[in-house]
Amino acid sequence: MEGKVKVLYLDDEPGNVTGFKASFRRLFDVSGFTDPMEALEEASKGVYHVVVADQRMPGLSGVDFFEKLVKRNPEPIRVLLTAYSDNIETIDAINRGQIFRYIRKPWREDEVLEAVHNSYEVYLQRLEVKQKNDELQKAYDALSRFVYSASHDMRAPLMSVLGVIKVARQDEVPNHMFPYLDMIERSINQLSHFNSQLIDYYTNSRGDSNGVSVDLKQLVLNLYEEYQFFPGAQDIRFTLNCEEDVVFEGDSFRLRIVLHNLINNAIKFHKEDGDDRFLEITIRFEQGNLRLTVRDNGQGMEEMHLERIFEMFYRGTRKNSGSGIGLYIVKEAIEKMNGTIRVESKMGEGTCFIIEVLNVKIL
Amino acid sequence: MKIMIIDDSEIEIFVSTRLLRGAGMVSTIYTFLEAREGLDFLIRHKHDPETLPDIILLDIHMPLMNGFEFIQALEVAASPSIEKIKIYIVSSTADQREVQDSLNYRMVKQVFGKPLDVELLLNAISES
Repeated sequence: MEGKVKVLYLDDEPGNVTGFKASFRRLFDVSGFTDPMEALEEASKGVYHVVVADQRMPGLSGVDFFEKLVKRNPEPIRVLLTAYSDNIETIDAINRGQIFRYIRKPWREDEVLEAVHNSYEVYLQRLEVKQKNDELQKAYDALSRFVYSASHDMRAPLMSVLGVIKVARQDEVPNHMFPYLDMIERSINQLSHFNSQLIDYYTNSRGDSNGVSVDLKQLVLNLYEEYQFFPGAQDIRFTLNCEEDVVFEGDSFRLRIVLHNLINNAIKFHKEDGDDRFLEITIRFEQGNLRLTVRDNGQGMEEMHLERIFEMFYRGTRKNSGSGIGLYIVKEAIEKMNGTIRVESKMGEGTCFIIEVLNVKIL
Repeated sequence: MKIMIIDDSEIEIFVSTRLLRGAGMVSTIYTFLEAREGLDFLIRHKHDPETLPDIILLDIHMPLMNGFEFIQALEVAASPSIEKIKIYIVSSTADQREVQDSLNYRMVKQVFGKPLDVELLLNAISES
């Protein structure tokens, strides 16, 4: 604690102000006011720990005064002086003025002392919580920046390995080496996929890219084109149901992350054979709400997994050793867009993800 | 066809060079580990189309001078012969914003991921 507790005392009667100052100036650093507006100006400056105000003042009551003060500077702890005859509505006063303590008038010195000390303690605790929160936020930011730059730095050497594998295949490598090259390549591809998901995760966690004009139909078509050469994609029939080509104000980066992951999953977890394997994306706008469904007739999931698939690192299968972060990122991204996602799935029959974003602004 | 490769990784330069040589069609390959040196070379030969490359394969993330700074500097020093050069970004970036930023430069024709897919590159060159 450095120095004295700084107290602002407000009472319309000059005699009371003088009395309060006389009693406490040795213990606290007291500033007295008789005019509520002047006191409000002063208390908004952020130098006071505790503000004590009388309830009954002409023009502005103590509760009204505190209500105004909370909006301008919520930091000082507020103590209200009330007489029995004030007859104030306690709950209303607490809610509006966010008052920490009442003191009955005429006040006793020990009562005021205790109230001010307690208030000051609360002030210090809040300050500490605030500082801790700021530190946490900084640490969190540093962590996510670290994830981002580490992922980025990892990418370049990974891609180099893939390049060297390519060159090696062109060279006169003994035949029995090819399976090894394939294995190295497969693992590096897995790692690289995980790596781009980490980058997506970071992109999603930071800032907002809302308010960009999005042509969802085009976005889906572009993404599907990217997936054409993805292993297994050639055997899956792709359908896009989109009645009208609507452009709306949204978040194309996050929508891209979402669709990217869902399409990837649908292809990865499709059946290995069977007739008419499909992946169907439906885009619908109803009364300003966007409804996007991604449906496949792939492997499907057992019910026990459905509740947990959106958890970070949850994996429902050992097959296709992913990292379990994909659907977590999907959910986070949709939440950032103020949307919802749910899943319907039956083992052996297929899976359907339903995404809804309410009140999209159609351009 | 003359190609210049600018990349701070020797392995990347090795890979791209070998893949391009394997595909034929390339007469000269200039390689630079530092963008600054590549830039100096281009400026030195800015009125010499016989020497200037037709294509530059450019990495984005490089120490000292990065890919974007390289393009900006080249635009300032441009000559009619330099303006004919087509730049293709070859980057391992997974950041879509960076891809978008690259395409905002007039000299940049397309962005490719790593490792370079020579077939896609040659198609792009013949189409543009």
